[in-house]
Amino acid sequence: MPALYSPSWFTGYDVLFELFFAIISLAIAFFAYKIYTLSDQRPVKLLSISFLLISLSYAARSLPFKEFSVYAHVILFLTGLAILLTATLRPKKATLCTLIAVTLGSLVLISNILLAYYILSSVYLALISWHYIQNYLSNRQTKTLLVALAFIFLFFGSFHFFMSVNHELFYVIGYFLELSAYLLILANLYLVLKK
Amino acid sequence: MKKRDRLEIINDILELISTRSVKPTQIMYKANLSHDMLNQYMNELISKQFILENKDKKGQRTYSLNEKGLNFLRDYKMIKNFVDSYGLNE
Repeated sequence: MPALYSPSWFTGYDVLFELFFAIISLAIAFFAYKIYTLSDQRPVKLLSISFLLISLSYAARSLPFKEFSVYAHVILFLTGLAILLTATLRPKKATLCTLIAVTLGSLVLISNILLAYYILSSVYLALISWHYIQNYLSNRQTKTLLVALAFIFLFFGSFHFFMSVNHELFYVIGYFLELSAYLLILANLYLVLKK
Repeated sequence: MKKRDRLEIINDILELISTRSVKPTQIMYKANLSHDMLNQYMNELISKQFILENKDKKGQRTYSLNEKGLNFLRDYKMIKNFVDSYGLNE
């Protein structure tokens, strides 16, 4: 049974956070799908799928079935990040196969699935953040900055969940960092929609 | 001068075709594309149903815009903003 390092006073609030993240991710997934139907660009389709899976992962984590919701969240979130990584970094087939093998291998071999999940999601988010930092440096606009900052916050959020093994407060900080990230993603969506 | 990305090139081609049927050579010169690039883009745009290929009485090819192409042009700014912000340019 995977262990969560959540302080008891935070129970209930975390569900509200997760539902909020699920709604924002779903909005991005729908909007990306709309952009895909207009532009027919494959990376946009992949982005839409990845945000849909991320949205479902948060929805799953907010469910009251403890063990099922943790496993569903881990699998959906990591798959979503792997697809996002494919859309943004466009790795070669061999690199992608290695990444999938390492991910599946880690989840099977490391006995604490949450520990494996936090390590893997931190690595994925670090790679994705690096892509968005480079994207901002080559195209210095508010929009690109917002997305880069959002993914940096998500990375540090994931890292704080990893640290929560030692201290419960890091778990709460992780949620607030994720909240900042999704607010930035929402702000970017507003800028994109603004004519 | 900044190199155009794929979306910008597609937009340039569709804008050329938007007002009237255009011959491939006109697109090649006005959109500043090589022969190979032109063929590659036109095949993609036809397969994605953004444009239609027509032939006149002399057998000369011309291109006109489809509804999907019109929608792309109408929402180009939004598409470009979204694709740029997530670094999804191909």
